[in-house]
Amino acid sequence: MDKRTLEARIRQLYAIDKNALDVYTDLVENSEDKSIKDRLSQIAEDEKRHIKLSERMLDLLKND
Amino acid sequence: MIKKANLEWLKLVEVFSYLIILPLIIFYLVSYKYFFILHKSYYFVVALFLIQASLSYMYSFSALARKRFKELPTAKHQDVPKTTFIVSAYLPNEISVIEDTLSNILEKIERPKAGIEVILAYNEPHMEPIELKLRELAYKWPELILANAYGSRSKSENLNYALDIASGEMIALFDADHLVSSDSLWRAWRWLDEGYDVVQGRCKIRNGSRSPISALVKVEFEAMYGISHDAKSKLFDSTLFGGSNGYWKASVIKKIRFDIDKLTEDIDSTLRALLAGFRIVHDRSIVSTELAPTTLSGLWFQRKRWAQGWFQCSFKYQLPVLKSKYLNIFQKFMWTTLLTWRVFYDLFSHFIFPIVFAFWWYKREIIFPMNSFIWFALIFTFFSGPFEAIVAFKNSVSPRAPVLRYLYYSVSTFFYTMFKNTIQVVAIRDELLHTREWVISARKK
Repeated sequence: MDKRTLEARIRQLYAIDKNALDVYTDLVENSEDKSIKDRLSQIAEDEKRHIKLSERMLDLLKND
Repeated sequence: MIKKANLEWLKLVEVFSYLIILPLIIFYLVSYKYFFILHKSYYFVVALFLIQASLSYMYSFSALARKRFKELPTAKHQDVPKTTFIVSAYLPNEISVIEDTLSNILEKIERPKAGIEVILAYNEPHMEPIELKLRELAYKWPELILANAYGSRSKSENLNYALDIASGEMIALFDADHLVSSDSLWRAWRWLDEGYDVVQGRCKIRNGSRSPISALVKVEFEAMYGISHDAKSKLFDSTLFGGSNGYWKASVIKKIRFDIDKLTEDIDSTLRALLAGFRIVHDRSIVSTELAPTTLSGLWFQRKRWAQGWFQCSFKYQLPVLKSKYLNIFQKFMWTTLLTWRVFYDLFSHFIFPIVFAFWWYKREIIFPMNSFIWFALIFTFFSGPFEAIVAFKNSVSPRAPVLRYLYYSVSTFFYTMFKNTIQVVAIRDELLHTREWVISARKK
């Protein structure tokens, strides 16, 4: 896979992760059950981590 | 509950009572004691028509030749950079057109060496009828990003969301029904390369044969983009971003962004950009086609939203425009004709009816108060529309609408203008009463 396609694919996933983070954040805010809220928060954190990793990857591809 | 259409009829009755019936009674009563007031008011309103027609002639004459690209010494001769297309869609309303719009960009656009990126910004989480197709399209074209702006309630929010993701140096903005021509990127970039910050291309209607309404709008758009915007750019070196087929330097649009409280977020962004010292140019050779409303109610709601948005901007930006250090006196004049003048004209031009009716009532007979000045004003005003249609025909690009459609526009232009003026007044009424509704234009192939 060439670099440009790789970057484009990561950007597609980045948008999906951003959307997922927004949805999970909203679910966390609106759920009342503490245990569910905690699990959702963990997933939201995981999404944040995905986003950060994608950003790092994009920076790497840009500077490469 | 009153139906939306019935409510609009009620608003029309209300507005007519303020603008026709009440002034008629006042003019009639006043004319009994001070007839000269009726007389002066008549000449005042006729003068308004003359000024408006003069503006129309000025733009029509100056648009006879188009603003051609002339390279300036400031040109850097850089290659077209990576460009992000942002397509904003209201799903499910625009489901039937979105696939064609995206495919047109992905398959037909002449790509710069640095590549393109296409972001579909939408706010509907469920798009079952085309979800699979869009995912297939995204799999086939890695450049396509499906960006669901979660929780967004407006086009502006969709756009702002997409701006955060966009990675191109030039950003091209489109509505969901636009089919842009393949050569648009290099045509737009040459203006940005030599120092402009935004380029507005020409929007053409492609469903003009669908109904008498869309036929009228087709010629109106030929006049709007082939004459009005083009002439403003040529005469005053200033024009507006119309929301679609606009190309921005990414750094500029990311700074300006879109105000989510404005009904015409494009005009609001235009004015904020101009007031911040950025420059906009119009190039009518950059063509994109779109779909016009096909019904009277569709047209009514679309234009009312535009009129209300313009009124919001008139209120907010007239003084800043006059005070701006970035606009010269001619540009300030131009923007005043678009902001305060249009509100003033739309409100006061209606007074021609109560004034003439009051005159008849006073005289107890139907006679037209004519003299050589009024005859001149009448002919001058009436011919401004047909003249505009002739220039629009001359400036139109292939595929041209049949001549008959231009004739139809010429004949209808007076009534169509009055119709639009009435919409403006209803929009002002809505804005003053804080009634803001966003009726989405239905888009069907």
